[in-house]
Amino acid sequence: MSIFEGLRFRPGKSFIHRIDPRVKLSISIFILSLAAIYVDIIVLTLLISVEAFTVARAGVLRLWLRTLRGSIYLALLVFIITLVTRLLPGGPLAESLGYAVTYTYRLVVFLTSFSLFFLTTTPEEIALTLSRLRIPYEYIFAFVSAIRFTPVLADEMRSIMDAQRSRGLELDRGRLLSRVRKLIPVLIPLLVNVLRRSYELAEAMEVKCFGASKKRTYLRDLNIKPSDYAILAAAITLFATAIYLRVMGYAPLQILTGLELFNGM
Amino acid sequence: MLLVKISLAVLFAALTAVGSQITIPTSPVPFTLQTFFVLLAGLVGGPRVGFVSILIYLLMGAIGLPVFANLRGGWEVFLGPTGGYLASFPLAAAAAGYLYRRRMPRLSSAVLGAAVGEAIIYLIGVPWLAGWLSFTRGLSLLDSISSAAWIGMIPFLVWDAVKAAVAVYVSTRRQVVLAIEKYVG
Repeated sequence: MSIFEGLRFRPGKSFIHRIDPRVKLSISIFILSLAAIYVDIIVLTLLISVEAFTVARAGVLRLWLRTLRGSIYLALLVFIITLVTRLLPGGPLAESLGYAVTYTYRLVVFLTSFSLFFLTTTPEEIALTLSRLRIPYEYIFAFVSAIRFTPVLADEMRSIMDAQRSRGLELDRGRLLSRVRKLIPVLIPLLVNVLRRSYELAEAMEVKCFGASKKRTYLRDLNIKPSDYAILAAAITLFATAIYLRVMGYAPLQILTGLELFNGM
Repeated sequence: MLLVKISLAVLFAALTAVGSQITIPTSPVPFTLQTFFVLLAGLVGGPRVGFVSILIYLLMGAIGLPVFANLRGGWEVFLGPTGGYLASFPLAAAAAGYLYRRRMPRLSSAVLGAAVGEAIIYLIGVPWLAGWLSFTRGLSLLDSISSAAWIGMIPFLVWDAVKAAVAVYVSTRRQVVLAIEKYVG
């Protein structure tokens, strides 16, 4: 079951990985908000190239493309809906197509905006970021440990399956119903182990005085470096400029979203 | 006691993530153990642990980890046709846990809990699918509900009954009940 390897975060050492997670989160939020206020192919292309460039530098381009692939159905759906709702009241084909393409494009930018943050941030850093957002530590702890324990439990399930196979249990043979029945000798030890493990985990937490003091400290804290400030300042400047331009009514190639491109020709 | 609850929620979230990947290939509908572990989290962990653990599980999927059935993940899944089923899971686990844990280890209350849990999954999942269908295909409300039931409920009924039966069986076994009483209380 090597599929669970995907759950292990692969720590990266790239420049992008080392940016403060709060800065990365803000950039993701900026991209999301710009995609929300600009319905414009040029701006959207700019945004998505920023994302693509960043994830490529971080070395996680393939994972990022996988999230893109996951959103294909939703994108297709939005494309069709937009096209139909524009065409039905008698809108011209070219204009409707322009709208459909732009809205779909925007959705893709929307869906991928947070991948930038999640793909280059370790669960620990996500936890630190969340705690800075004043979310109670119990919840953060539960979330992060669940991610950590998933590969552990996958290993455990594999050992139990192997143990029962060595006793002659044929898990991969038989018809559906008998295969479901054969899962029971795997499930019961797994469940009892989980219950015992949770007790041990709770004891370990108690020994280490989990929740004893109101103010928690961390071994590794988030420190904003000067380079982080520089990146954040650049991002805020760009974001503010984009908002300002939008408020002033600027939309570089609105023609692509509407009819003008096709009319002008 | 609180710590045991927290760690149990952690482990059940991880267990659901692992268990959702157990698939037995059948056609036309693949048999996955996702809903089985949702019910089990409630039956074994109790209502609060069940609710919280499945919520954590959904959150793991939302940030893009491939923990949903068939290795899917990402927050776009919630917006898709099956989003309603996902959203119903924490409630289903809580209901199953509430009904069973009041009178553990009575078989009848485990059966009731699993049945109500399954019912909640369909009660939220099928209307969501219907809404999705009527939105995308422009079907009328009545048509979309009947086709949603045909797509998202009727092919699954037998397997879900099997899964619920296994969940009831496992959670009323003596070893499991003893472990619950010993470690969780």
